[in-house]
Amino acid sequence: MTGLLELRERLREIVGKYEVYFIAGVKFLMGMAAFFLINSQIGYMERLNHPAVTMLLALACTFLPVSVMVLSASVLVLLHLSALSLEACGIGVCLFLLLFFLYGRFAPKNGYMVILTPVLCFFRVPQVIPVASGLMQEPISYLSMACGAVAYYYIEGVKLNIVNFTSMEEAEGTAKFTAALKMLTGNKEMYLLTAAFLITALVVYLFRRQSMNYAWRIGLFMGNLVQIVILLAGYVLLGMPEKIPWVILGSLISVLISLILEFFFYNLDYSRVERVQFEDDEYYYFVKAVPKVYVARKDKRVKRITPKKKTTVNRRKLAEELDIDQDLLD
Amino acid sequence: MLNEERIRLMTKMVCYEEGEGKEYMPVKQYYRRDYVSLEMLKTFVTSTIAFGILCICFVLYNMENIAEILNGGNLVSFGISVLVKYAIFTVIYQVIAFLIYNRRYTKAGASVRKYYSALKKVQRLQEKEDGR
Repeated sequence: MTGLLELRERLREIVGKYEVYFIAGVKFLMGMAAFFLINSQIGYMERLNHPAVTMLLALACTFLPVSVMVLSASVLVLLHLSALSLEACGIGVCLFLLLFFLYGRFAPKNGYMVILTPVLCFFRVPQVIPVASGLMQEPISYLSMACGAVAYYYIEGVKLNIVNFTSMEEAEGTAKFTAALKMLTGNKEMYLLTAAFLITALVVYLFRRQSMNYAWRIGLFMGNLVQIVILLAGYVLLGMPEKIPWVILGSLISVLISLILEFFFYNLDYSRVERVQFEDDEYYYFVKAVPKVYVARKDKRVKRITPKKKTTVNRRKLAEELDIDQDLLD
Repeated sequence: MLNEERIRLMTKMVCYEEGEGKEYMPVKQYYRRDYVSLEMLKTFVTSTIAFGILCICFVLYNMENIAEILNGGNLVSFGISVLVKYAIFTVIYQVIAFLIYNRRYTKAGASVRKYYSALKKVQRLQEKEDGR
């Protein structure tokens, strides 16, 4: 354990020292993942479906605020959809505007969650998002996961129902709109996942805010448990049992990552809890103070204790050094 | 002669201005009532646009039945029901906006207070230096 704590301190030190590069690296990787997935999934506009475009966009987003990445990803999606069909693009515009006006205005700083949720949804393991969000953020931020999930299911829906949009008949214009909307409103899996995300994040938040020992750990386990139950029950009811192994795998990853988060951000030493009571004119205070686990880094110094090599000087050399006659040394 | 304490305080203040302060300092330029009302007004505009988009989606979704609804003679009651929905939608959003921006103002107050106390300290140190 001490070794791990030392490693944590060292990592914190390194991340703190190179914070600018670290954040830029994370943004670049996120941008690459997001733009690459968009291009690979719905790359209908051939001019944009190119690795160079992905790379350039990711590079540009590295140095800009994360909300620019969300905006670029939305524009990229809309451009690809416009190449497929204007109706799909129109509904996409409506959807993104709705998400922005209804939610984005209140919490503009949750771009990371908006990007990460669809990326992890694509890899079928998004379960870590609500638990991490519940641990690290306030309830106002939780809807950003829902925004990410809705955007993902819209893209997925367009990809799966591409036939509805490629029909050439003019009269079918309204039918395409209806198809795009039905794809969104009739997607029960989207409702399931969104509800599971929100409930899980709230459960984690409620537990971790309690004044009890190991609040974070209990919160993360309860959150994962609630999530697994909701998703398993939901997938069984929806008749999608093929998703169950992914739910279990995603939950395992989620437990692992949330334990790592707890280790880095909330490592308390419950053996040294202090409870104090005091009062002022207006209140009586019951304070529970839990010290953080902290290990000072070992300062290693190497001290050589091997004796210096003995140098033997013979009479002739000494005499030469001193510039005297050899016989005088007798 | 450089005053190290003043430099330290000023560095901290600039860090705050560049980071957390960027979000909270503009908030404290208003009185609470003005700030919350302004944000509620902005929310009213955005929620109206959002309701408009939802209406467009509704029309597109029910394209086949829309002629029936319009020709059915119940245009007045249909209009009233839309208005009632709009009113409920807007009121809910106004309440949410009120709660969120009130809380944000309180948070901003606590956050900016530290900055102003540092500012006063810097001023005092500066006066002391000038008086020498």
